Amino acid sequence: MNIHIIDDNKDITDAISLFAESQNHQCTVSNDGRKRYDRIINEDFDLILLDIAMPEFSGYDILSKLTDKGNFEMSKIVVITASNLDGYASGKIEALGIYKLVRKPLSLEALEDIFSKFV
Amino acid sequence: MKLRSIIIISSICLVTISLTIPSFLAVTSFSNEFEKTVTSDIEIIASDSLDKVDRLLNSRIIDIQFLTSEFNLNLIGNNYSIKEKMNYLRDYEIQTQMYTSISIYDIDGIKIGDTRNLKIGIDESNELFFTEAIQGKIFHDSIPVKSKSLGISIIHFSGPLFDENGNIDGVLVLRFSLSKVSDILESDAIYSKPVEVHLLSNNGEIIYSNHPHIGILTEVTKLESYQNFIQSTDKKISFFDKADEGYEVLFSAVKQAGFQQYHGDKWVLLFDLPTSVLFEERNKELSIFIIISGIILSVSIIASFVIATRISNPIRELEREMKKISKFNYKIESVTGGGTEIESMSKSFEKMVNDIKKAQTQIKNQLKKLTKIDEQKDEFAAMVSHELKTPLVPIQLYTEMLLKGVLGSLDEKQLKALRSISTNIESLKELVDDVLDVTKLEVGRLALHKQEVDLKDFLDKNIDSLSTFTQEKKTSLELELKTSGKIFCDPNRITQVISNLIKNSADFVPDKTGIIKLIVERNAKAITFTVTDNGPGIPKENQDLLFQRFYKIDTSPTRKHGGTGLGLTICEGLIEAHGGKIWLDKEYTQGTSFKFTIPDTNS
Repeated sequence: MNIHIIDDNKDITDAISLFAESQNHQCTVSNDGRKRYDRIINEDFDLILLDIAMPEFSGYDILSKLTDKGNFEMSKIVVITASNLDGYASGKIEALGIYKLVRKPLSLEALEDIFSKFV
Repeated sequence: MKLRSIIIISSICLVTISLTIPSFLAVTSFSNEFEKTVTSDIEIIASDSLDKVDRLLNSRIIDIQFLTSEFNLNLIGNNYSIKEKMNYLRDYEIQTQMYTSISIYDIDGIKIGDTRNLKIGIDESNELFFTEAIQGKIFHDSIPVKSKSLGISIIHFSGPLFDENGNIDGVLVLRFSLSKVSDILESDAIYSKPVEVHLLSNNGEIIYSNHPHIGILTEVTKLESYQNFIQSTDKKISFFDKADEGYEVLFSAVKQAGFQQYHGDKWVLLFDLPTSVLFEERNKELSIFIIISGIILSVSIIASFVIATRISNPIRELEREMKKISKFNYKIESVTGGGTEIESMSKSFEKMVNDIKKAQTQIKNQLKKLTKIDEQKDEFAAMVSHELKTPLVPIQLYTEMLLKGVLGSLDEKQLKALRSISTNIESLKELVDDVLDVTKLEVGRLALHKQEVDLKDFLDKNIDSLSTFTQEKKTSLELELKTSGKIFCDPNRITQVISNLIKNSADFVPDKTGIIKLIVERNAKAITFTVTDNGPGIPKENQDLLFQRFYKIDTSPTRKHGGTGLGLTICEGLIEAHGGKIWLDKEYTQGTSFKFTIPDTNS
């Protein structure tokens, strides 16, 4: 499975990709700027793990751009966030058609669970 | 009562008490004194007049006694002829000016001489004045009689005439004219007021009257009060109502015991003088008093109205201004008039309003600041929570990978250390979430997402997810659902509360034999949730502190039970945010029992 992780925290992307690779998944990461968005569009990923609170170009921005684009398969996105989103905000994100919203910190079990759904 | 009415009524009372009542008393006393003086004056006039009548009639008796005396040689025997006797008597008559005529009768009652030469030779032997005198007595009429020859009221005075031997040989008669009485009573004015004067005998015979309409007199004499007056011995003056003339009154004086020698019995002197005339001055004074009192009272009423209005109007205006404040209208107009106090009161009020305005602005600013601070607090808490959670992600993931052997195998010591790290990561996560919840509840920014939830589904899900937790401790978890239907709540938050309570219980119940029950029932207006356990219960001294922040019963470093100490505080906040209540059932003795309610919107 081809997984892409977008998070500005390199430690997090490292940890997740380490685990993903240990589970025999292909894993690429984006830690900076607008490049992330281009990669999502241009490359065909099976699963995208997306952080929300990122400087300059946030997870929201990516989500809304993808939504505007129209033909992007939103259900392969899993949002992972440390923000304490209230029900309204999380509901809004979930309504975009993403697969799931997972709160940080997340356990290996949660990751395994997500991976198993996309294999 | 309104202030104005109080002022008006009190000032009228004041004027009445201080002015009208004393004046009234003074006038009454003046009136009584006036009446007394007038009455006593009339009494004196009346008795003086009767005394004069008394003397006049007494002189007539002396006259007859003198003329018929045995020593009056002018009339005795035949020393003088009848003509000479008559001349003497004529001189006497002119001298005294008292008699209408003087006559001599012979022993048979035949008039033989008369100063007016009237009816000479007439036989009057049957007349009382003759029959009495011929027996040697001095006689007089008690009541005036109408003279047959003269046609006027007269009183006969008669006595015997003697011859040289002292034998009675005739009778002398003096006819006293009542016009002489009128001379005495001529004072036909008392206090310069015209008065009618009547002299009456006690049987009502009119002796003298200067008033032609004597019919009125007979009416008066018939009055019971008049009769009583005649009978009484002490009264000298009295008032009689003349019924047909309203309150007009007669004054009278009575001669009780007759005259010195003239025995006219109880003659009555009546002055007919209406009180309205007699007391004219007094009545005038009274009218003036009433008019002046009326004027003073009216003036005082008007004045008190004016004063009261001048006082009460500014107060009412002030009241109107004050009422504006309660409607948050701070545009106050200052009240003028009504005296210095009210003006200064109005100014003080204006100042007070300005102070309130200032204070309110300050409070508003302060409130804005506080709201801002709350916002910042909330933002800060969210930020802190985000920043704390982010580093936990790699920590947790690496720890779990190490524990799972993903990164190679480890020895038991290393695994033990990693397990400890893992447990503490869980505690830290919990603490961060709890602190964030408490902060949100404190600043009132915790948003509930209420929805209608089927009670049974909702509770089954809760019990399912919690039973994995309780099973680890081999504790039994039971649900007693005594009602059905829907509940309107934020399911995530109520789950949080239920889970918190059950996890608390699970921490305290004994291993293997622990029983935790969740009982749900519907009461009048709420759905009540009860979480009971068969644990040790909560010591009495700790019961009241349970809902305090960071309160833990066991704070020793070796404490068995974990948790952040914020759980119950959050539960309380969440239940109260739902409009319910949460409390410890202190009556429950078989362990611990927490109860909370959620308002039942179906009822």
